[in-house]
Amino acid sequence: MFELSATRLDVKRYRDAVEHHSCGALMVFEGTVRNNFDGRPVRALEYQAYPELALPVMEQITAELHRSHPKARVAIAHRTGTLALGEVSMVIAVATPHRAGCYEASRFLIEALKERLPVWKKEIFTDGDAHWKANDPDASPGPGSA
Amino acid sequence: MPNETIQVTLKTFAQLRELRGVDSEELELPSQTSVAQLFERVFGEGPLAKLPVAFALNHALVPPTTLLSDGDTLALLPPVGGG
Repeated sequence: MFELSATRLDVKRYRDAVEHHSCGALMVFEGTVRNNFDGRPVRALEYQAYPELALPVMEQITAELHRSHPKARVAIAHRTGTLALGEVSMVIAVATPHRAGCYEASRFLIEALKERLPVWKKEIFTDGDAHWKANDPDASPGPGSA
Repeated sequence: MPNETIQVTLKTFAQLRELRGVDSEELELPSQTSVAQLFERVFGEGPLAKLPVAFALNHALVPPTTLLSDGDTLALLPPVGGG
């Protein structure tokens, strides 16, 4: 299940979409709107997407995951429009036969989507300033970093 | 056919879209124009001339040297920020 949505994401829908009796592990990753960027107060985020490419990119990244985790069941959704603090901007639900593969799959998907999904984010600060903010290609922290 | 021109639909996103003021526009270009040359032509003199963009031709990523054809849709993709 791959979706872009202009309205609030129903996280349970994506969780339920991947649940299966063949899977003993299920994880849901939620990206949410944080109240600051590097300490600067954020009021809201605005997301813009390129649907004709975003949905194929979600499918492609899932196909790449299936090379190493062929039994992984995946649902991905991303919001568009203006989001208030705390709102869910992205959901990645993944179910696998065992827990190790589930952690690996969830991590693989979020990092690949951060790098390649054609979605853009505008940070709107409380002081009225706003700018389009790209993901940092080098900000893929390994275990041990915050 | 050196004088031939082509019609291309240009889609932009994020800061590129704000600069143009529209999300999509029709452009008439000389044939043999590459996707990178289109970016240069539209944004080369402006504040986003140095933005590292990617190119999607008819909704598939292509290299900068790819030549445009009549009726193509080209999307200019700034560095992404989803998640």
